[in-house]
Amino acid sequence: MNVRRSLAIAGLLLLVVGTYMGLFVAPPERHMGEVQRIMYVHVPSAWNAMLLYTFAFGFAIASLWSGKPEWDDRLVGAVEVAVVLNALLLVQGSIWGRATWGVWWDWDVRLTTSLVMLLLFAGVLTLRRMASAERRAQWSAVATIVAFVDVPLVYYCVRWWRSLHQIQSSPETVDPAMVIPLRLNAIGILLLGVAWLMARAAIEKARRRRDEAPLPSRVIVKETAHA
Amino acid sequence: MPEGVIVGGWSYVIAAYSITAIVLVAYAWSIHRRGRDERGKRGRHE
Amino acid sequence: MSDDRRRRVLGIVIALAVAAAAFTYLAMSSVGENLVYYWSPSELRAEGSGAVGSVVRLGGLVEAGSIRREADGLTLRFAVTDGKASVPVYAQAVPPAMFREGIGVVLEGRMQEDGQFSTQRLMVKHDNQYQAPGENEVPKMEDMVRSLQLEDGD
Repeated sequence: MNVRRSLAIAGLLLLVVGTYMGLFVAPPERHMGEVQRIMYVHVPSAWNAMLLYTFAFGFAIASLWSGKPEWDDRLVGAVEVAVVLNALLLVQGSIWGRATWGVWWDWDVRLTTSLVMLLLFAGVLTLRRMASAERRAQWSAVATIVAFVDVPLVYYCVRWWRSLHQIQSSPETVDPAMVIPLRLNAIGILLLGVAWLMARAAIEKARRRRDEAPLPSRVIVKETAHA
Repeated sequence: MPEGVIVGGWSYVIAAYSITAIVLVAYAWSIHRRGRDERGKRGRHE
Repeated sequence: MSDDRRRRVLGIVIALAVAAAAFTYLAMSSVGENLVYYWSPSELRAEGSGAVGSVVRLGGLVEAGSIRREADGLTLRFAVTDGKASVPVYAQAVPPAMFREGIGVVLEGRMQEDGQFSTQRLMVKHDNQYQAPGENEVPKMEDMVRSLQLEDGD
């Protein structure tokens, strides 16, 4: 609880400072003007979504390998937080795209693979709800591993194929004054994301314990509820 | 007015940041609520 | 090894094998080569009359000094180049604010019989440079051409 709370508070602080710098301290971009400030939330969302999907991939392998249900708890935490960030990055990107490219959406390879990534992992979460308690961990792990195929594609597609989306920026292509808020927000969302992952895993663990609880205790609960 | 430069554009920035803030706060709230519910249920069990 | 554990490890192996196979297929196969998001001016010119009629995307740089805005305020004429070949464009679209000489564009439209490319969907493709306003405003032509990624996927 303490670790989780410290991570969340530290993440929030970084996010507040990074956002303040991104909005009010960093210079506008020479061509994109103020609109480029969307980068300070869009890029950290993308990085952290992909990082958390990668965590989920690791948890999936650990879950299958060890059979310990704690890995499945963490898996659902990582996937759920990453799906939220994945959805955000699509919306932020769409707004940025409307201002700079002139369109809300186009079926370029980066946009398409990012949407597919969201649908695949939302599918993992749906599959969990449909699976029986005994099969849930195994199905989730296998589905996560298969869905993960798309994650490196999202990263590399802009290098391999022509796209509307530009390739990755690097510290050499980004003004130093823009790099600082970008990193602050990236670390901020990471810490916040890990705190949420842990909190979501704890919820899953509690649910699992409740489902596994021996029958008599359930009966007692029912009786006391009636009394 | 220079050519090829976006002038203004704060409305896009405000839209993107607002949506981000709303979604993140809503998710934090959802985690908090689900955690509270689960602790409540466990309390009744024990 | 218990039956349960054997089944789980088999699960990892199968899942990883499916994932690796799908990834390799997508990355290495002709899917990548056939996935041409846009044609360069050189490629479209090389097609000749074969390119006429079908809806394609044309990607390139807006040629310096080629932009002509017509009096109706909606029609725009310019040329798109990749440094080797150039295609005249007839656009009926309000260009995005970043539209200018030398910037990357992706146009969805049709090649006409007269060799002009007609489009109603004009998108600006910017590169990965994010700089504060100031000096060295003019990017190098070869850097801009490189941002079109015409050599990739081969």
